[in-house]
Amino acid sequence: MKKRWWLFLLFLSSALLSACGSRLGANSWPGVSAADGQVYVAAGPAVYALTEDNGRFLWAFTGQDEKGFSAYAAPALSPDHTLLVVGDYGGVLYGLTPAGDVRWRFAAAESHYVASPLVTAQAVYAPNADGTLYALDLNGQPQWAFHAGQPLWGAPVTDGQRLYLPSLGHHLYALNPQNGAVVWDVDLGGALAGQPTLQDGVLYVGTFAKEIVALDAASGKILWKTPATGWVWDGPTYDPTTDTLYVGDLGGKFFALDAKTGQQRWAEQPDGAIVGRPTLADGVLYFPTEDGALIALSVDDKPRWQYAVQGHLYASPLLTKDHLLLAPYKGENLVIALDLDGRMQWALPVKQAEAALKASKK
Amino acid sequence: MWNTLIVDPMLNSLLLIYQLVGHNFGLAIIVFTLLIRLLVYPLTKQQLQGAEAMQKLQQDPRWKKIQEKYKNDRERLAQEQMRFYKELGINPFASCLPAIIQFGVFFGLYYAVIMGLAHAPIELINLSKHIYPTFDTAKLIPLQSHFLWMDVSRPEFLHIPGIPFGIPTLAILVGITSYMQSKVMTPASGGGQQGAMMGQMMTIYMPLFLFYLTLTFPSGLGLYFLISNLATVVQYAMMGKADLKAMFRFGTK
Repeated sequence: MKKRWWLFLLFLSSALLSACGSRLGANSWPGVSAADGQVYVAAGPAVYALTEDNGRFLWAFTGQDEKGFSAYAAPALSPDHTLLVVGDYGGVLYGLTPAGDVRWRFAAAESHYVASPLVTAQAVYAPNADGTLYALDLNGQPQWAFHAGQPLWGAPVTDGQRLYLPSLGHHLYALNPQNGAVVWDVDLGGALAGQPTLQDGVLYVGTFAKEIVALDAASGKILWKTPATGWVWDGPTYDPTTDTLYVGDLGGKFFALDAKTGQQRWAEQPDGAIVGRPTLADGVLYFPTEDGALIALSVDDKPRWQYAVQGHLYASPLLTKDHLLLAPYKGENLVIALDLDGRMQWALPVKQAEAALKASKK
Repeated sequence: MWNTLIVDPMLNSLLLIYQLVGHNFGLAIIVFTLLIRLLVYPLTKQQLQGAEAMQKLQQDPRWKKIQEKYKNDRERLAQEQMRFYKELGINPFASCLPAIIQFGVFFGLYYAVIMGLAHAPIELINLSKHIYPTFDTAKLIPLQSHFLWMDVSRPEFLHIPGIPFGIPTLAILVGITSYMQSKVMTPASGGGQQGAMMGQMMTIYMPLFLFYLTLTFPSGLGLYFLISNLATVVQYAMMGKADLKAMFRFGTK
């Protein structure tokens, strides 16, 4: 009897540890990008390419490594759309053609590529969770590396003169894009997980110190700080017509702020944490909530519509010529395409995408 | 319920220790594991004593006689067994209840360590929901995951100059200590051939399973397994129940 008891405990523990362990594999939400009528979705074990007009499967990329490929950050495109850069959680960066063929592979990083790389006409800037920003040329040849010493989860932004790099280690760095030399460096008192917003020489960032901060891009001088109700994961969206910033926080609050002063113009409190920045089109803001709603709100705070998905919405909706593209986390659909009135145009179920992937491997 | 009562208090205790030991998550896991093992020591002791009493009973000639007498009547045997327990003042659940409580603590600790490692965005968002408001999360994040040569948020491999591949030292240590732990914890094979086989299965299966987990998951978890295994062996040794010679004899005790 006692032996059976021991054996039962052993198998129970195995089952529970395995079940819990498998959660370690689910790391981030899918990232979407699009160009020239194609949609690219990084959804863990594969990067899918679909047609933008109807979501038809084109190809899938599953890495070249013997280790399990896993990519979540939205694939980044070069300005001429001839290079697609994908970073995976095993620390490998791939340069692909728009047809999904590997042009180059860079495997020097030691940790996850959480953020999308920044690809300019001259270079690829890829932040890694090992605390290093890797600068490569467009052929994947390393040019320089900047060691921040703390995980880098946010994509950099550039004005051509400087490269602005957020770090989970509370610092915002301005670097020389030619050699990675530090121009200035500011400690903002909380982790920076999202890409800064750069507008007219001013940088706007959200921090885990529950603040939205504006800095002078030339000097790094803090211009203003505004408190939020929770961690601010991503940078704000700027509306030039009203000189307003829009940003949500993990406390679930959505703010409209005066870009000059940081003063609150209005705020909303929908259900669920807000991680991704809002997308702005024709005076309407579209922002995702963790509870799985895409909320459309006019810039003067008038509700337009809501679209609920199964699963969670963390990433910002991607605006293309005809669609708003959503990639839910743990939903039944890999991608959902809406029109700007919130009507679904097409959706690609996860099961269908996986079946297409399987068939393409045969 | 599980999170509110077990995981969240453990997670926040772990984070408090993290702050107290100077923002080192590896060290925090070690201190936290040892503190928990110390807290459940009375339960471990009670469990062992209960198991010992049950073992003695198996050898009692009166019990053997009862077994022989009612070998074809399982229901009556069970009744007689309960009567005999009562007569000797043995509570058959004395070793089970502490084991169940320890099991809950073990999984709470395991979940707290995994949650605290938060090595990717979803895990970090999840962590933010479980941290008590008394913590200044701005200072807490990012959790410093470097400990000795390891990054506790990633699987561990020791790279030695001249050797082209990394050696999974932590996984090896976890495998060895799990074997030692299984040896001291598996009750003596009083149950005949079947019992011996089961005991052997546990001493082989568990170390291999934990070796695999440590090899593939963040090393913070492996660190927790290692300290937990060592703490169990030391606890048994303190109670005079760890036979070092038997520990390294392959097979049953």
